[in-house]
Amino acid sequence: MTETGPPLWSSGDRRPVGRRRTAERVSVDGDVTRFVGVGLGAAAAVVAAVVMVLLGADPATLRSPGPLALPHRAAALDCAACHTDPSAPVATACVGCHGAHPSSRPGHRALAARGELPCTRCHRIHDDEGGVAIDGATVLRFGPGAEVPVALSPPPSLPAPTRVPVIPLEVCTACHVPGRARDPIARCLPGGIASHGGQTPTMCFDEHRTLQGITFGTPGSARERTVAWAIARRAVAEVPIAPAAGIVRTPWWMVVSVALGAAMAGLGLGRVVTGRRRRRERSRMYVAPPERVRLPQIAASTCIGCSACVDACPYDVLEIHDYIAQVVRPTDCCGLTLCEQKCPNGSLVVADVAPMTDRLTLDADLQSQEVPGLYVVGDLTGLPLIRNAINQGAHAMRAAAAGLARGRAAGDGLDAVIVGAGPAGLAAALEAQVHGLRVQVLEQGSVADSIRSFPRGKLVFDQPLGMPLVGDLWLRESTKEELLGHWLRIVRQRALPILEGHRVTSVVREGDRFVVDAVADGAAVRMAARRVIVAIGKRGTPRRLSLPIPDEVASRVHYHLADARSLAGLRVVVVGLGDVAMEAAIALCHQRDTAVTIVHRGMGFARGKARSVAELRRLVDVGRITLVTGAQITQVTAAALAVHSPEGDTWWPWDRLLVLIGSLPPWDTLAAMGIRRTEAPDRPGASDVAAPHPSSPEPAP
Amino acid sequence: MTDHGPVSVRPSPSPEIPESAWRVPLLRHLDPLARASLAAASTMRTVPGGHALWQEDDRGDCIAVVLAGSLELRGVRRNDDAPSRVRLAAPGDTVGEEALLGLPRRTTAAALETTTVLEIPAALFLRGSGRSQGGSALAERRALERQATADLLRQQALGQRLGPDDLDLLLDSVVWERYERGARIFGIGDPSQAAWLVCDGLVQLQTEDDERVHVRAYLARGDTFGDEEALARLPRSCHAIALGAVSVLRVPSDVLRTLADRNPGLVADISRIATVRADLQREVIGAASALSTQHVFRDLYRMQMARSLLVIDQDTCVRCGHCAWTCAALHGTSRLVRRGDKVVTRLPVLGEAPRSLLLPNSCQHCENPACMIDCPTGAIGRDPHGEVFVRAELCTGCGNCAKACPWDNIRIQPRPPGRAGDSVAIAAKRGLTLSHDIAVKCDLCRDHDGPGCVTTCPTGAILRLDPTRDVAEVARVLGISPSPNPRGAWARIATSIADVALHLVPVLLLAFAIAGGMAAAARQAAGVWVPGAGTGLLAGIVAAVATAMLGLHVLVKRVVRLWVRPRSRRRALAGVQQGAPRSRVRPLLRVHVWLGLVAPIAVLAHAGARIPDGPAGALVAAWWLSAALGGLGALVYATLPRRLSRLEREGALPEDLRHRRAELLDRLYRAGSGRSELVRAIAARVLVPYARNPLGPLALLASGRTLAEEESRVRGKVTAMLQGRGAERLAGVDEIVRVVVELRALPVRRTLTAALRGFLPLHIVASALVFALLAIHILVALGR
Repeated sequence: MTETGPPLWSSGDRRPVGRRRTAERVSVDGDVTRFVGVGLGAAAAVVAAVVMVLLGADPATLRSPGPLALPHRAAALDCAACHTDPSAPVATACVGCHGAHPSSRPGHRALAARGELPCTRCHRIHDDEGGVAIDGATVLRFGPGAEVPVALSPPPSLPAPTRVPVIPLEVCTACHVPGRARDPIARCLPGGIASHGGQTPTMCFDEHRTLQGITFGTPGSARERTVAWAIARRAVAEVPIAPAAGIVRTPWWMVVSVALGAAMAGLGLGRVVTGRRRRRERSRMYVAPPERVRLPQIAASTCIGCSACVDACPYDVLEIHDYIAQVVRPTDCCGLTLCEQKCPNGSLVVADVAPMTDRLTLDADLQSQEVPGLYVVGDLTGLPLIRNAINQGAHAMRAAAAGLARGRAAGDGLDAVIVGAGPAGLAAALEAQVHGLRVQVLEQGSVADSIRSFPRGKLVFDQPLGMPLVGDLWLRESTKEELLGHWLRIVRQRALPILEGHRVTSVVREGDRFVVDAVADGAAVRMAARRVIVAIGKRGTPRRLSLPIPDEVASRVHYHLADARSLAGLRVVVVGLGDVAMEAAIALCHQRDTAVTIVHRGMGFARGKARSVAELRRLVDVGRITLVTGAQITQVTAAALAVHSPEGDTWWPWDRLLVLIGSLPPWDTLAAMGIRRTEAPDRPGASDVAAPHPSSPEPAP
Repeated sequence: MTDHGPVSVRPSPSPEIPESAWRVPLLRHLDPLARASLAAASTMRTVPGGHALWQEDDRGDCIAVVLAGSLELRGVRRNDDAPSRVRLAAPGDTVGEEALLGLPRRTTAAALETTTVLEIPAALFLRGSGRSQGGSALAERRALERQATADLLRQQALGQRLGPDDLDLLLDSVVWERYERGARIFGIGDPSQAAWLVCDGLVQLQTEDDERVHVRAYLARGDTFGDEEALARLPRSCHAIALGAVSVLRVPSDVLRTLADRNPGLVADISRIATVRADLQREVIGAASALSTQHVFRDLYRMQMARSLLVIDQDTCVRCGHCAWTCAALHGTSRLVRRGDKVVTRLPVLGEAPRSLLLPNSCQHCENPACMIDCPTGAIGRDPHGEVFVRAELCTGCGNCAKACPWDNIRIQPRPPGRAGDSVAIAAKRGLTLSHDIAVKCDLCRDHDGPGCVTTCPTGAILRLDPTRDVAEVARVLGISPSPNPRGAWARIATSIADVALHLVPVLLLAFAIAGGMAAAARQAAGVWVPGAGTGLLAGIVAAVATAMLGLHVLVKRVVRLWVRPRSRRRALAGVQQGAPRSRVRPLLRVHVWLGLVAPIAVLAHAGARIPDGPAGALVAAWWLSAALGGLGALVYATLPRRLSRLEREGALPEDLRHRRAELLDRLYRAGSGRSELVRAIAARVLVPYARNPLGPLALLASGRTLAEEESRVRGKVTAMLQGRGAERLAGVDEIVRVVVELRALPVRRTLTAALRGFLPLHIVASALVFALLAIHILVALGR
C-alpha cells in the first residue's frame, strides 16, 4: 500500500489537529449576504426609469390623449368638438365637418356602410394622424405635436392651404398582409419607400376619389391632386418617419443608462450601509496592569465540567479533574477574567487574593512615576499577552503624543525613541505614524524576535478575544509564520523607522529630553528624544550555562529552537525540562535520526503542560529520548559533554547543545533607567495559593 | 454573565421523576448536581405491553432504568436464526448499557406489560457518576467495560480461537486506551511492548519521509495491529496514528506470546485475515489513486464516522450559495458554510465518473458523536435514526461541543428570541436560567420535510449521503457492501436517456429560438408584423407574459416555505423515512432557462430587431440587456464550475480568496525556510518566476489541467532540469511546487468565481428595470 499524500500531522501548512481551544461563533458569510444591496439597486433602477420617463413627458399630454395635428389644431377644435356624445361614435362628428365622402374602394365602402370601418380606423387623430401641408411656397410634414419643414417648392397653382393626409401602413395591416403579392395593398407600396416598419406611410392616394372636402379648393382637379400627391410622396420620403411623437420624448438610451447608473449607486450604497451597520465601533481600551494577584475560585457544587474556562485560559492555569475545573498552576494566573467570562453558569469567579509584588510603578498611561516621559509597555507590566502588548504600545504612544502636543515646542530631534521592536514596540511605532511623530525604533536583534523564537508552526493565540485590538497591528489566531509574515509586511509597507542590531545601553533624562545610548556593531550611537517608550519584553536574555564554553563550539550551542528540522540527524543535548525544553525535545524527537538527550537538574517532571509531560513520558518510556535527571553539565569540549549525575560522571557525545533554562528578566536594565518596582515578598495572601508545582524559574545548573 | 445561578432549566428534581428512581442501584451514588442535570436531560417513557422500547440496531444516546413493569430483551444469539430472550429486566434494572460505548442497540427491548422507564443520556450519566464518586464509578465502569470487552473479543478472530481460560487471561491483562485524533500510538523504532485491537475508530499505519506520508494500512474496528513485531520482538517498522478518537485494547506482548505459544494456529489465523484485508485495500487504493488527486482516504475516518454527510458536487455547483441562504432563512443563521476539504471519489448514485466533492462545514451526524459525549448537560441527543440534535433548553452555550467537533460543524450564537420574545428574559421571570449563548448545528431540518439546502439547490449539486455505503471506495475498504443501486437496469437506462434528453432540450430550444427569432425579425422588418395589431400584438402579449413568468422565478425561488414545508407532527412522530431528498428548485431553474431561450422569439416578433424610440425602446433595450446577462449566466453556470473545481484544493467563499494570496506567500516563505541551497536556488530561478508569470494563469486555464497534473508537470520540469543531480538535497521542493501552482491558479479562481457570482446582481437589476418599463409600456398601450 503506497498511497502518498500530504502528511496529515507533520506538515506545517495544516493546523495541528486535536481539540480546539475556541468555539467558533456563527458568522454571516458571503453566501448569505451576497444579495445585500441588490434590492436597493433594483429599486433605484425602477425609480430612475420611471422618473426619466416622466421627465420626458409633457404634463399636459399625460392628461390628454395627445396633441392634435396641424389641420385640427388650425381649426381650433376642442375635445367637445368631436367627442360630442360619449355613446355615439366619433365618426359622426367627422362627417359633420368633412361631409360624407365614402371610399372609392368597394370593399372599404361596404365595410364603412356596415359601420365596421369608421373614419377613425384609418385617420387615428391623436396617435399618428399625419400628412403634408402645402401652403403656398412652404411644405410641412406634420404629425400630432410635430411639424417639420421640407425643402420643396410646390407649383403655385395648388390651392392654399392644401392638406394631404398620410396613413401609416400599420393601420392597413390590421386587415391586409403587405408582403403577400396577391394582396391588393401591394400596389400601394411602391418599391422606393421600402420599409419604415409600422411607420411606413401608404402611398395610396385615391382612397377618397370623390373627395370634395374643404381641403381641396379646386373640386375634381385631378392634375392638382396628382401634383399635391407627388409633393407629399417626396416629403414623406425626405422625412421618412412620420413625426408621430409619443407622449414621452426621453430617448431610450438615456432611460436605460440613467437607470443602470442608479442601480449601481444603489448596489454600492446598500453594501456600504450594511457594512457600516455590521462594523461595530471599536472602543479604545487597554488593560491596566493588575494590582493584586487574582485567582479563579470555583464552586465545585455547581461546576458542570464543560472546559470552557480551561480553554479560555492562555496559561493553562486550569484543568478538569473528575469533571470539575481546578486551579493547577496558580502562579501562572494573569488575573484576567477570561475564564470567568466564559463560564456558562457562574461557577467560576475570579477574586482578588493578594497584592501584586514586583509591579512597576506606572501611572494609568503607563508612564513611569519616577521618570516622567518614560513609558513602559508590554509584558513587563505584568500581563504577558500579545494582544495586551499591542494595546499598551498603542495606548502609551497615544498618551505620549497628547503630552507632546500640549507642550509643543518646535525643535529638531526625535519626538520619541521606542526601545524594542516586538508587538508593543511595533504598535507604538504605528501609532506614532498616525500622530505624525518623528520616532526611532531601536531593536537589539531583529523585528519581533520573541515571535521568531517560537517553534516552527506554533499556534499563536490571540486571546483574550474580548479585548478589542487597538491600533493598526494585525493579530489573529494564526501560526507563528503567518503572524510574522503579516508583521514584516506591515513594517515594510509602512516603512517603520526601525534600526536593527542596536542594543540600548542607557537612557538618561537631561532636562526635557532623554539621551539614549546604544551600541551597534561595536560602535556607539547616541540620540536625543523627548519621550522614550520601553517595550523590551520580559524575555530578557536567555539564561546561560555557568561554565566556560570554548569559542570553537560556541556556534553549536543554541538558546532557542526555531525549527527542529534544522537539527535533523544530529545528536542533540537539551538542558532543562521546562515547557519550552519539553516542546523542543518532542519536536526534535520527531525528526529523522535525531538522538535527543535531556539533562535536567531536578529529579523529575516538576512542571509543564500536562500534554507535553504525557508525550515526553511516553517517548522516554519507549527509549526515544534519554532523560538524565539530577544531573548537570560540568564541562564542554568539542567531542563530548561531561555530565555529573548521581550515578556518576559520564561523557556524552554531542553535535548541538540546546540550553533552555529560562531567561533573566531585564529588571536591572529598568532599574538603571530609574524605574522602581513595588516591594517584594511580604505576601500575606500567599497561603491562599495552593501551588502543587514549584514555579520559580529553574536555576542554572 | 457572572450573575448566573447554577444551571437548572427545570426545577430539580423534576416533578416527573419519582424520588424512587434515584434509589435504583445505578443512580444511588449520584450527588445533587448530577441528579439535577440528569433530571433536566432525562425523560420518562411509558411503553404499553407488547410494544418495543427500541429495536435492535436502533441508535440511541440513552441507557434506561426500569421503574415499573418489566422489559424483555430479545436478540439473535450467535449461530441462532431467530431471536430469543437474552434477559428480563425488572424494576430497578438497567438496560441499554451499550449506549455507554456508543454502540447501536444489540437487542430489542419489548415491554411485557405497561412499563415505565427513565431514559438517561449515557454520556451525561458517565459525567455525573464520574464527578460524584470517583472510586465507585470507576469500578462500575470497569465492570461495564470488561463485559463489553468480552463481548467484543468473542466477535474477533483473536477471541473466537481462545478457550475460556485464555480468554480470562486476556481479559485480565488488556487495557482500554483512548487516543485523540492525530495522536501517535507508536512510532518507528519504538520497542514493541504490546499489540492493539481496534475497538472503535480508525487507525492508520504509515511511514514518513520528510513531508510525505506513505499510508500502509487503514485499520477499523476488529483489526489487530502491532502483533507481528510484538511476537517477533522487533522494533516498530511504522507509525500508528489515530485517525480520529480511537478506542483500542492494548494486549501486552508477553501475554500475546503466551497465548500464541498455547494456541499454535492463532498467529496464522490472525495474519491470514490481515492479509486478505490488506490485499483488498491495496486494490482499492491503487485503483483510486490513479483516478483522483486528493482521494477520499485522507478523510477516511470522517467518511466512516459520518452517517449523513453533506457533500457538494463541485463540478455542478454554481457557487450561488443558495443553500446557505436557505439555511439562514429557515434557522435565522446559516449552519452551513461552504468552506472545507475537497475529496475526489466515485459516487454510484451520481454515476461512474469520479467527482470532486466538497465537504462543507455541516453536521454529519456521526456514528459516535464527540459533541454528544462532551456535552456537560446532555443537551445533545440522538434519535433512533441516528440524527444528532441540540436541545436548546438544556444548552448552556459553553462551547464544549464546538471544540470537540473535529470538523468545525458546531457554532455558537446568541440564543434566538422565541415566539414570545427574548427567551432568556422570559425564563428569568419564571425563575429559570437560560444561557445567552447557544450551540447550533445542522439538524437535517428536523422540523421541516427534508434538509432545506438539498431541496432548494438550483442545480441539485448538494447531497446528503451515507459515505460508508454511498462512496464506493470507502465501502470496499471498510468491507461493507456498497448500497445496491435501488433502481433496476431498465430504470437506470431510462434515467440516463432522460438525462441525455434534459441536456438536449436547451440545445434544441436554442436552435429553435435562433431560427424562429430570425424569421420573426424578418417579418417585422418587412412590416408584415407590427407591434400594435394582429400577430405582432399577440407576440407582445406573449412576450409580456413570458417576461412575467421569468421574473416570477426569483420570487418563487426565494419563498423558502414553498420548497421546505414544516413537517407535520404526526409524520415526525411516526419517523417516516422518505427516499433520499432531492432538489425541488432544480426544475424551476430549468424552466426559467428554457423559457428564457424561447422568449426572444416573441420579443422579436413584437418589436423587431431594432430599438424604437421612447420608453418602448428603453424597454426593448433593457429586455435584451437582461436576456443577455441571463444567457451569459446560463453559459457561465454550465461551463465554469467544472473548470473551477479542477483548480481548487478546498472549498472557499469568494471573500476568502481575497486574502489567499498573502496566505500562500506566507506558506511559500515557510516552505522555503530551512531548506537546502539547491532547493532555494530552484525556487528563486524557476518556481517563483513560474508563479509570477502574468500570462501563467491564462495558460493554466487554457491547458485544462488540474492542480495535481500541473504540479506533477512542474515537478517533472525540475527533475528534468537537474538531470538526476542533487536528488538527495531536494527535500521540501514538493511543498514549494504545491504553493507556486496554487499561486498561479489563484487569479483564475478569483476570476471564475467572480464570473459565477457577478452576473446575477446585474441580471436582477436589469430585470427590475424591465418590469418597471414593461408596466409603463402596458399602461401606455392600454391608454391608446
